[in-house]
Amino acid sequence: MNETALPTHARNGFLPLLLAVSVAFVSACGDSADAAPAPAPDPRAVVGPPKDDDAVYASARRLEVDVPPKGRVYLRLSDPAVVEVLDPTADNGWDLALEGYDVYTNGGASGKGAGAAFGPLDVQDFLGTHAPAVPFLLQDKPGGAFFDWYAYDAESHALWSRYHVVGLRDGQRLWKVQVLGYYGVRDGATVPALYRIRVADLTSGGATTEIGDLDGTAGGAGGAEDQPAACLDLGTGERRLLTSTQAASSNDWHLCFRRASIRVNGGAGGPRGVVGVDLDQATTAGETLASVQKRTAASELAHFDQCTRDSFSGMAFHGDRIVSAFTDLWVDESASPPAPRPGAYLVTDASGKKKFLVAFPSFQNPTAVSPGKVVVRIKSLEG
Amino acid sequence: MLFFTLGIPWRTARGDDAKQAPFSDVVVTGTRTPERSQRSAVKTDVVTREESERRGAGNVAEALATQPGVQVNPGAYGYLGNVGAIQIQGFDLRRVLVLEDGEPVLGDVGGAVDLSGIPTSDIERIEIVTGPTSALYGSSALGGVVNIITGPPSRAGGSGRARAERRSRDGLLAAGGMSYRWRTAWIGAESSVRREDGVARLPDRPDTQVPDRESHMLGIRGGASIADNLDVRFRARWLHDSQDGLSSRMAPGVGRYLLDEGARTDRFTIHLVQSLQAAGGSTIRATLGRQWAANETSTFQRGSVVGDRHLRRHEMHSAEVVSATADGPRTWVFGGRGEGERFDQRLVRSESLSGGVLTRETSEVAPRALAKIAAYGQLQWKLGSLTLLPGARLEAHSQYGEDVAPRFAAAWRPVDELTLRASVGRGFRSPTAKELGFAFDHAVYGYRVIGNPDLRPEASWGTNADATVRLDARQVVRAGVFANWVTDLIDLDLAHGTPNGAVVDYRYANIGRARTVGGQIALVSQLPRGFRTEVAYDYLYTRDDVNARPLGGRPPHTVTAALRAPLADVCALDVRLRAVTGAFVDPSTRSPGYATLDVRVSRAIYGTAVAYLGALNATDTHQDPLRRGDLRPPVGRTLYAGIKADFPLQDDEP
Repeated sequence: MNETALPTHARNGFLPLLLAVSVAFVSACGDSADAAPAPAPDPRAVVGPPKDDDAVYASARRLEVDVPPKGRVYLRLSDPAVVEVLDPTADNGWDLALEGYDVYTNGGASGKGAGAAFGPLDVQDFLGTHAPAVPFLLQDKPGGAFFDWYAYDAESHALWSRYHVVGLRDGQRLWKVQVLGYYGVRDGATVPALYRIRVADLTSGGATTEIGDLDGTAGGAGGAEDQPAACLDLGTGERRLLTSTQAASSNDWHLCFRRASIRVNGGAGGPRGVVGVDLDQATTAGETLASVQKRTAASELAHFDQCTRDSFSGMAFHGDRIVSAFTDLWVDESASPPAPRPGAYLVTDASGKKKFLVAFPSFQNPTAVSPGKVVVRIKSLEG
Repeated sequence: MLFFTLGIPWRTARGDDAKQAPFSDVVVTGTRTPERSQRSAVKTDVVTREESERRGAGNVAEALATQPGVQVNPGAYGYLGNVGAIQIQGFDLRRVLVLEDGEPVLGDVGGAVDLSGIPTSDIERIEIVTGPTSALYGSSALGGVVNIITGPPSRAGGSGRARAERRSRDGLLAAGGMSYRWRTAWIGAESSVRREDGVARLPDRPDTQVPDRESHMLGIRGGASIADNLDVRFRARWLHDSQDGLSSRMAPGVGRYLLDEGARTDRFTIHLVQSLQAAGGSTIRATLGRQWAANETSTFQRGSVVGDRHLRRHEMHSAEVVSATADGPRTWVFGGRGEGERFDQRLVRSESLSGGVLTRETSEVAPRALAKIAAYGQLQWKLGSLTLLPGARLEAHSQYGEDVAPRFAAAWRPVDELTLRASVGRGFRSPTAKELGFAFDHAVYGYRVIGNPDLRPEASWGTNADATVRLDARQVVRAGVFANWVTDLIDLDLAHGTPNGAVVDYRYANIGRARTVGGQIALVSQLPRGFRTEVAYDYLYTRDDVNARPLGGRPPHTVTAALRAPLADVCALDVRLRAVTGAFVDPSTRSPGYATLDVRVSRAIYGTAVAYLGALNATDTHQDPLRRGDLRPPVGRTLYAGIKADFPLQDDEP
């Protein structure tokens, strides 16, 4: 077989691809179209198909977890239990963590372990004993306002900017930013991770400027993880090369460009308190690769110019946070109150070696900020 | 070709190929002892150099492209960095052993031998044995064996041959050789060069579907009888093959950029053979061999040093002694072989980084040395019209231990007009360097492919039976059937990837089981006035028993028809038609059926000199570049015209 034909995903901004793959996995396995009409939802009752007592979970372990809106609760998957963790960044005694409507694995940006996950998969996978084949596993990583900045062409591995306009707030100052391209020319070659962006200061009504050659190559494909990459101060226009470690403690930047990810210096991204929001985030789900490919820097200039300070009124700015394979997928936040979405997740434990299937059949007494008591179904897998 | 197999003497059309190559009716591959093909206990097909030229071939892949019973299809494997590969009895390129004068040809680190990189200019004939033959040849002989055989000059004094040909796509083929025989010693040298422009992938893109290609061969051979009963031969050969393709990629915001894609292969072989005629007609043959192969594939952005190079090195050293002892109706063959291999594969990647262009070198296949020794034996016992042929090979491998491959064959010739043959045997294939130690790091996309040093050899059992009926002095019918069961097939185990953080490691594993079943029926007719026809039908059924589906890329039905006709006293017409039905590729893909037509007209112009012109794939059947899994030929119609001659031009030897 041809190795390069294996399923692939990009390093960051993986949500669109993840959504597509997940939908394909779930739909390929087939949901029953003949389900009986669901009873009217009772906000205080157990919600979310399939039911906790569904036969599909017959061979799975059951765990009830009280999830607070703030502060994490940690789970161990082998011999499932809620565990106490003194130092979650160094402790390998936990495999999953829940906080509000977020789920984290013990790996990547969330922990020192080698945990990762993929999903959602069909809950019918609970009937098997072997780990289902998945194209890849995702470790937790930082993400924020630029989480969906590009559309990924899996055939050519090219990254196409969506030309979304992102608002960035640093104290009283507000900028709008549009990513114009991921590729540049250097050393006679077309080079990935040479960013070009369009920026305008909405605080002062400053002119639109374009900034190019923002070097996010960070040591290249074969480089070590913590190689320096370009970080930009939007106020001064100064750019500097910082490692991830340096950037995490530096106030001298607003945006950092590291390979395919763009970080904001706030929240989990850094100490400066910069917050951002994707003005066009609502359109992401409806964008196809073909529609994104039709956009150019010139065609999207008008959209950029139309965005004013008022365009961001009422939008929730936030700093970077940690995203996982569960983010935005395991909960239907459009429901009132939020409800678990059907689906199972393949999770590797903190050692990275043991595989589990995890599902969240129901919430008990969910609120807008917490799922309340979450029923977790866990099954240890072979292979 | 089938005529030689069936023992019908071939009389060439007037003028062309006026002289039949010596020993063309003798085969050696099936039993390791010279036999007349019609009496051979193991079915052996032969394609002579003259026949390959009549097929318009310049390399072994083209010579076998329309051979009944085999599939040679570069479309199945792509082009650049891949191979013109052969399938026999449903077994693919890694499970068919390719030999040169009985010695295994070094393939790539994946075990694949590119038949299109082996010129036919210095060969005498190609022998094809179908079915498991590991009892004699060891690893990879599951589907069969292709043995490319050279020979000494047949005439005393100086002799030579030359061929010059122009082809479509600015193609050029030039080949020549000269030799001199003095009493019992001879020496010869051969050289060939071939080039051809590539084929565009799409009309509006610069990308190539088939790259520009240039191949060179330089060889020297010699031999001498240094005593009444002692012959010594040597052969040294250098093959160079270079391919230059072009692809383009779209960089959003920047535009489409060009990638030069190249492949370079150099292969050196040296073989020294000593034959001793012992008392009682016994022979002992000792062979020392050494091969080096260096291969590089590269992808560089045009006009820059940014890109990747994959560098592969492979060496093989071998020593083999085989004896054939005649004992009345019994002929005993005993042999021993020792073989050592070394190989490695490195990736050299140059990237444009903030500090400038950085070049890094990493190992993709760690340097590895393998060794094996083998002992084999075979008895050929003639009991009147019945010949029995039991044999077995024991092989000990430094990587995975011992393996035993038995074979039993029998041939019965109750009357001159009928020959019945049957055999059953075991085949095996050792894991390749790639499968044992490959490291393909695509962690940036979430996965890696890594080798598995714990792999076991693939193993098969196969059985063959065929009947040859001489209907009259001019017509022969042959029908045969075969079945193979193969276990422990090695493939990437995609169902059991091992997570390693966010990266999943996939390994090669012995996970496959498969069957191949098929048959062939062929009719060869030598008609009056020099006309000759050949029609063959091949059926193939394959089953992947793990995934409960056919094996991909194996057409079930193939029809081959050939006509050779004298057009006048000095001209001849050769036509070959091959029709292949559609084939399963994967559960969502089928390759379309197709037919190719080869036509060649030749004319004697003076002495042995012949002018010719022709068309390969005259119907211009070719792949649709946008269709996935298209197994049709990647190259369409090829027109050619040339001249060839044997020297001296006027051969007055009897």
